[in-house]
Amino acid sequence: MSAATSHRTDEMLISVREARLTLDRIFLAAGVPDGIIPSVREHALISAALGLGGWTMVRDQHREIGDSARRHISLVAASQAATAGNASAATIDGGGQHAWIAGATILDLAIDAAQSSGDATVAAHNVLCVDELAVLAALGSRHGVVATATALAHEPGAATVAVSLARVSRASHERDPVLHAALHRGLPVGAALWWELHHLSNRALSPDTVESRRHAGPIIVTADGRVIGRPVDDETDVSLLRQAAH
Amino acid sequence: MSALHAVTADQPALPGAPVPRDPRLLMQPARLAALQPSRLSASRALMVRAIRERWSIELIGWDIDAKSKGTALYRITTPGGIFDFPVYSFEYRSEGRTGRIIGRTWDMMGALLEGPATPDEITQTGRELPKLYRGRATPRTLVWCRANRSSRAFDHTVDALANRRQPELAELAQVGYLMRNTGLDGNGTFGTRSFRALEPDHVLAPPLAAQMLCAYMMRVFAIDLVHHLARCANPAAIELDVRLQRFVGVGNGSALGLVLFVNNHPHLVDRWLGAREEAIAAAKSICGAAVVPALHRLQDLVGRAIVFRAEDRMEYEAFAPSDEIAEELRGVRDAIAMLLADPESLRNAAYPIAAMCDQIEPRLHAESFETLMSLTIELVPGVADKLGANLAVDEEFTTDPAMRVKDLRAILRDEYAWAFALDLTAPAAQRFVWYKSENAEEPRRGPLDEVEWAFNLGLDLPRLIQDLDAALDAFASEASVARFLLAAPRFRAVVARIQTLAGRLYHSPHMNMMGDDFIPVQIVRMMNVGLHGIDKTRDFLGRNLRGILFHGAPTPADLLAGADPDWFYPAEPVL
Repeated sequence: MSAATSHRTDEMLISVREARLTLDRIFLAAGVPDGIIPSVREHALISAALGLGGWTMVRDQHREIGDSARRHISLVAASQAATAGNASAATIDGGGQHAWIAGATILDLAIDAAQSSGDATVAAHNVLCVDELAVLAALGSRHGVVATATALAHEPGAATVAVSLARVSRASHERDPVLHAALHRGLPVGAALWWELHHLSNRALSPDTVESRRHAGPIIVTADGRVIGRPVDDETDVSLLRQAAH
Repeated sequence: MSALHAVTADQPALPGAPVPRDPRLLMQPARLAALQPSRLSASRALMVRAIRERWSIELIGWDIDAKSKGTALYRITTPGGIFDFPVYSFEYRSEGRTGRIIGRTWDMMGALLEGPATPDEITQTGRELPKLYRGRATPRTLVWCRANRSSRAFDHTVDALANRRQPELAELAQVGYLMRNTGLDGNGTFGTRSFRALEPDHVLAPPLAAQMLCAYMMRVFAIDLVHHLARCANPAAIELDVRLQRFVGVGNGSALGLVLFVNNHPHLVDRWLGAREEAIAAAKSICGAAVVPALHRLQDLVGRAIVFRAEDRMEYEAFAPSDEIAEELRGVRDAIAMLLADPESLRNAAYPIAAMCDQIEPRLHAESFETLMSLTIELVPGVADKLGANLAVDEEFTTDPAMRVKDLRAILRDEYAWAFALDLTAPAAQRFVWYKSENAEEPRRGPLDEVEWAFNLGLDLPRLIQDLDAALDAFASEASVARFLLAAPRFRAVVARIQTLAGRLYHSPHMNMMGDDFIPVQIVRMMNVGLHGIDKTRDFLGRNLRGILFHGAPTPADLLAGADPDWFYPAEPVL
């Protein structure tokens, strides 16, 4: 996108790389455990690409999402007879996890359960923002499966996730059409909202101090003013390393 | 030389034929640090193509004053498309100047756009680029870049030319460049175009090709700027001798960010190292009548490397002095000569080049041997170029939830034995944290007790492997990975990484980057020297490198006229 367009419409197009970096940092600072940050970030990315909760949800609920990562998802029941498409292969208690946290686990279980018959459905309960499980359709395609999430109207926080194993190998743009489109066209976001998110993501960066400046670079200026490392030449303003952070 | 092309990457290896090296050797950080530039390095691969296709680089606009302030516009015409490179040049000032990313002073900024760029695009780029982190690139922008002068070499050159003499070679050779790259941002950063969205036949589709073209253009601009400033001082000023124009490259400083890059791009690292090893194996596999011309060619190339090393004026902190490498390479040249003089050995060995390499390796420093390995790639240019054209990779990670726990553990045992061999229990094994500062997002690495508040960004892979294996051990071996991750979700990212990379040999250096004994510059050097193709990389504090890109590369006039493909390892010009 062009900045000029941005100023006119207040909408920017963000690259997938920028989106991932920003989301990673926001979730890191929100307390999402390292090991699931990439998964949560991909849920958020797809949500933004599909026009679901997306960017606004990240801004407004990142703390709740981080909190919900500390709750536990559990298997309530695994049906031995669930070999036909309509029966639930498993029932999951989301434990109050946000859909972006619980989604990957639910999808994994459905794919695993579908191995024998080619289809499986997992029922999930007690999931926050359960409508967001709609992103599993796109994430499922990365696994080569057709996934459909359906929120249950009669039970808040509940949904079924049906998976059907795809039988054909597909080109990369078919394997991941939402990501493919985002890579080519970018992800739209309101400019003001984007800069809010950018600001939020900076919380994962560390304060710049004289001490921490010694943790990088070819020169260290010690507390007593000695210069260690690369022989000082005309390409470095050493005062930059001595200054207090702005 | 057609016989040298007889071996291709598509041919199956014959029994006993040379094969890519064992990752247990190659993926050691010390070995990775010894890798040398080759035809599969990004800068060299770009030049191979620019020379072959006779790219045209024209200066089509210049509005820069006597204090260096103003704009210029270059156009790069290739058979596959046109690219424009607008330059925004600034008056020199010494305040805020550093090779680190935290620097606040740049002598030039530039952008590489798919062209021809419109006046609006040029104007908008000029408005947005100086904002950097708050700026947005136009949609057809591939890279934003910035560079600083080497004040010493730059000023000396301007003064000399204005006084109608050539600069002192010693002064230029000690630095090696007029301008130094201080930042290349592309692939989606600041709104630049995602490289994964480039068409497969895009001229700049190979990884890092667009960044390397920008770096080359920094050199083009630097030479034009010294000419301009010399003429401003004296209208009768002379130009830099073309041999010096070739000799000076582009400076490059790199540091800890490249270690994080390696963490985050294992597919690319694997593909590139795999391609390099495949090309080396193909070269070592040359047999029959093709061996003698190949050895003569190798002898010539080693000779170039000897001169280059012998004339190297740089001092290295931790890496081998160049005069020692030059001396060892003389031994390599002698070994080649002996082989050429021994028809019986040539006849008896199925793969004489491989046999010679095996024989001399134990006597050589790793850098000397890797110099030889890089040079062998020149024996199979067709193989190398074909491999180099296929370095772009899908870098997504996905879990395989139906995999059984026992099969995941088998991958761990087969492919991560190095991680189990590390003692991670000692405090020294977990001393450091990797983080980024709020100031320009500079990657930093400090002792945990000094930066307890920092969010760790480093990949603690061996610890994750050991912890994962212990957790899997407590799980039923026939259970699925889906069930395991239900119980232990904190392992999701590492499981996806392991499963996605299963079967690949060269994706992750065998290192504990959190430990006391890890030397970051070893991995920085693998990237700078091996992948980027940077020469004369001086090391500082075990974490920073400064070196020279495009050292000896053809000028734009050379490219147009048909340049010498053997431009690398330049000898110092004798004027």
